[in-house]
Amino acid sequence: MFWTATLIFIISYAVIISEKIHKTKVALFGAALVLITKILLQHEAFHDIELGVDWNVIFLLISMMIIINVMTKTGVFQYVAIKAAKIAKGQPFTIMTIFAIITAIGSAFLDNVTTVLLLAPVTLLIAEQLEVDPVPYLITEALASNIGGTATLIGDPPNIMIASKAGLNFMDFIFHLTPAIVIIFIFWMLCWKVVFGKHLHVTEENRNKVMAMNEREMIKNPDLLKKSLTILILTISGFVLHGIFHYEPATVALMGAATLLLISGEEPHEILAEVEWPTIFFFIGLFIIIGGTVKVGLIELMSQKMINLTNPQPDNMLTLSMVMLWFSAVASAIVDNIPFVATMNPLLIDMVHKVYGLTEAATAEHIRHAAMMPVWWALALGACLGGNGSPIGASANVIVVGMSEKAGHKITFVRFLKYGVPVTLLTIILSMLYIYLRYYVLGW
Amino acid sequence: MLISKIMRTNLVLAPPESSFETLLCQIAELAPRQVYIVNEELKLMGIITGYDLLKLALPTYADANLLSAVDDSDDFLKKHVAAVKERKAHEFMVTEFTTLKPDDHALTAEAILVEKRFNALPVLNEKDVLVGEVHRRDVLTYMANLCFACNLKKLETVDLSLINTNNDASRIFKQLLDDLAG
Repeated sequence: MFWTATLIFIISYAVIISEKIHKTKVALFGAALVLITKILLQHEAFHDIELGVDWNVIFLLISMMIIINVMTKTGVFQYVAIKAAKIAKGQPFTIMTIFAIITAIGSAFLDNVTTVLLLAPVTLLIAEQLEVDPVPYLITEALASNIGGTATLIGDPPNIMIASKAGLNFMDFIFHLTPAIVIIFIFWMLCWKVVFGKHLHVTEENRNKVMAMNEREMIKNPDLLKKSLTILILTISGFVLHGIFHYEPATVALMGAATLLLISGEEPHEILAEVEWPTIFFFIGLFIIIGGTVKVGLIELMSQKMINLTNPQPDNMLTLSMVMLWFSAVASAIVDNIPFVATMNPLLIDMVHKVYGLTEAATAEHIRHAAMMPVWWALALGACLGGNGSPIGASANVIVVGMSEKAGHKITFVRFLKYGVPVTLLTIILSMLYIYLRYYVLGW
Repeated sequence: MLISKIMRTNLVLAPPESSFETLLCQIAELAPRQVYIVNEELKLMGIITGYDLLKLALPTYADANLLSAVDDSDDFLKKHVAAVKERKAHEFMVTEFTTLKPDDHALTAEAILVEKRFNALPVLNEKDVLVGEVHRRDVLTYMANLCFACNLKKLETVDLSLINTNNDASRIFKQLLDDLAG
């Protein structure tokens, strides 16, 4: 069983990384093999909290996709982007900064891919009106979406997975990750000012073209906009309070999505058809493959290796945090961060067992022990920010590169790296300093 | 009824090197359903429709909502058309197409037009040489002639530019009802 599960795990991940076959097909086939070989029983795959599909993650993702799908029909993002360009008075670097802020905030509360999908066309249009190269703007937005998505529990799938596994709530992310992201974002923008501040020039005539754009035309359905904004605000409020009322984030999101579907007047089959089902089934397949590796002891073996390497102590896991941060960042720049985090989550739970010498299932007290918390944050920061390291490191990057090429502005692998690698290094170094100072020097 | 009996043979043809500008003028002025791109033997190489030209002249990222924000739309369009005016037919023509043979039945044409939602189908002989085109209207005309005796006197168009008041509209509608009553 051990070697069968290991083989399924290695081959599945290798094929996913090679991108020869669609990752959802690979994950589902791998999951089917895990079940057919009885490494996991179907009951374990579907109902066991430790080994099976994490339905909290699945329903949180589906629900947020429903809310986003309704919101995209309102045209609000295009409105905000054009309004922002006009507030910036058509100044190219100010537009770049404001668009980065909008993308980061949008990605913190919505899906990264949706945010860039909505903003990239406006960016291309505005760059065209200004007659500037849109590529720096588009790459900035991709990077901003990955940075912004790191800030909250719902911002990026790895955070959703980490929160569910470690039992962390929305406010834990706000207290621990949002300050890090604000600091990182400010530093990044200051560096961007040095890089781009004096190199972007536009004529008065072209600036006037932007100023003459009519953002009000963007709002397609004001009534739907009011409803969806209200539901989004209520849902985010629900996330803020879910820890107090002991609701899982998925319950809050499902309530928001179901209410919005009910009051929006939109056809459910249309909205549900736009849910990214391939991503959802990718998650389901991965959870089952990973469940198999947990059951046969592969994850336990990997966790022992990690313990030997980093020597974590029950009251201090500094080395583990730092290794986790850099390892996650490098891995996420090369491979999809979702399978990476899906593997690291049970590995860290197993490490908790070993470090604290537990014989029973790990409790919240140990999983969220003060010494363990920086490790979870290191995993989140590394996995999310590492996505900026290459054009294939995050879905938002892939989308931006594809849209730019279709619009006649090819972004080569190397050109993306010129932006992505320095930003990844900067953000990971800042994350390292943040974790070290906050948890190991100041002890907050 | 055989395709050869209902197809039209007066088509707009162009060589693969035709520019966007030439094709746009052909479609705008000659109003064909589609332009057939042929080689020196008149073998069909590709098809270009008005949709293909419209699509090429628009930026890939834009949708109707986003473009409604542009202030000077004429200037915007001119810029984009200028950018593609030298593009050649062979670069953007549709090369995968469904064809008919002259001895196919009109019913086959009807079924293909419905299944694939095409407007028109090229007709090729056994040597793949273009010999005609069957348009939706050709099949509809054949159907009408086959099944009904249309009263040509009752068939006329309405010039909407002559309608200025509600009274004009009411008068026209009453006329339509009278025609319907026989």
